[in-house]
Amino acid sequence: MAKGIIVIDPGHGGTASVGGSDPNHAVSPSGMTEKALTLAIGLRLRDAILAANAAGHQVTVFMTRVTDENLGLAARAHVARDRNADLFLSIHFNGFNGIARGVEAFVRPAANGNVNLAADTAFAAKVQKRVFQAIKARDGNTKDRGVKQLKLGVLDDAALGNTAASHRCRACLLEIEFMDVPAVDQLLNTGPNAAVVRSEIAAAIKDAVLDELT
Amino acid sequence: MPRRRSLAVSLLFVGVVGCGTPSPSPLATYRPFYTFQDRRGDARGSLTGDYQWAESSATLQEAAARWKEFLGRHTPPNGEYQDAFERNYVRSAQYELMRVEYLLGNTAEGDALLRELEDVQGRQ
Repeated sequence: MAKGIIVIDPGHGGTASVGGSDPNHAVSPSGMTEKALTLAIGLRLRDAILAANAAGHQVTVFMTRVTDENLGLAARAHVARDRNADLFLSIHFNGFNGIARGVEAFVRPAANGNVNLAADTAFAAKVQKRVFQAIKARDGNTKDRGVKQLKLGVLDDAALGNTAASHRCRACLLEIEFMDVPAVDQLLNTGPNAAVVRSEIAAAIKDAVLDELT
Repeated sequence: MPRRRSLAVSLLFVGVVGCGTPSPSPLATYRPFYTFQDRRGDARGSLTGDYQWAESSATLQEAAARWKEFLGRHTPPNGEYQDAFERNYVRSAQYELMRVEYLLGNTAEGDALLRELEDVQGRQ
């Protein structure tokens, strides 16, 4: 049975930049904003984990936000520090030129102060793999972009409460798909199965979290 | 072939090979490498709006100036990115500027950007 504490961080939010966090980045062809979609998936993930607790798991969930508000990057990480979290997952959607596709996850490089790179990478790989498989089952055109290293402010170990001596919190940032691609917009927002696909993605992340905390 | 004519042909060959392909004029038409389907016309000052402004440059000279301004404004402080979206735009702007510098014949400036971007030697 899984046991532990996770902080779910739906990326962006609100209407103004706060502490290095812009209110929104990607926008779908139908007009769906990244900040709304990250919150929708985050809330579904929370509910999926809480439902799993009914089966005997003991996973406590905290959200960095549950409404359309923005928090600074450090403030998001501080939720994990202050709640003594085992896992911190920042949820985002990607975007570039309306063509690029794929699922990828990011961890902070050791050169940029990551004191538990291997543990972060293992957690990120579980999440990325499960989400890729869930989307691949619906759309064969997605791509496995794997786990990469990037200096991301929200994954700063000092802000997460990790030190070289004590580093219980594993953290990663998940880029679920490129939401500026019309086919992805249809999959996640406008298609007849959009709600089901969102739930499948949340369930895939939930499975990875339970696996990580078991 | 007369000796003098042969020498002239040889010098012409050496001249062409030695000079290589001439650099385009700074006023040559600029065409960005990355092509975007989305043309929402985001506001100037935003990451995407400024990117669209830079990529719509008319000439190589204008493109160099605009990409430099874009990178000066949107490269995150201390290299702390928010997410991959931001990194995609900043990184592609670096590639666009590097390409423009080479097209303008500014090899040193292009190489400086290449050194920042290349990861073959293990740089992140």
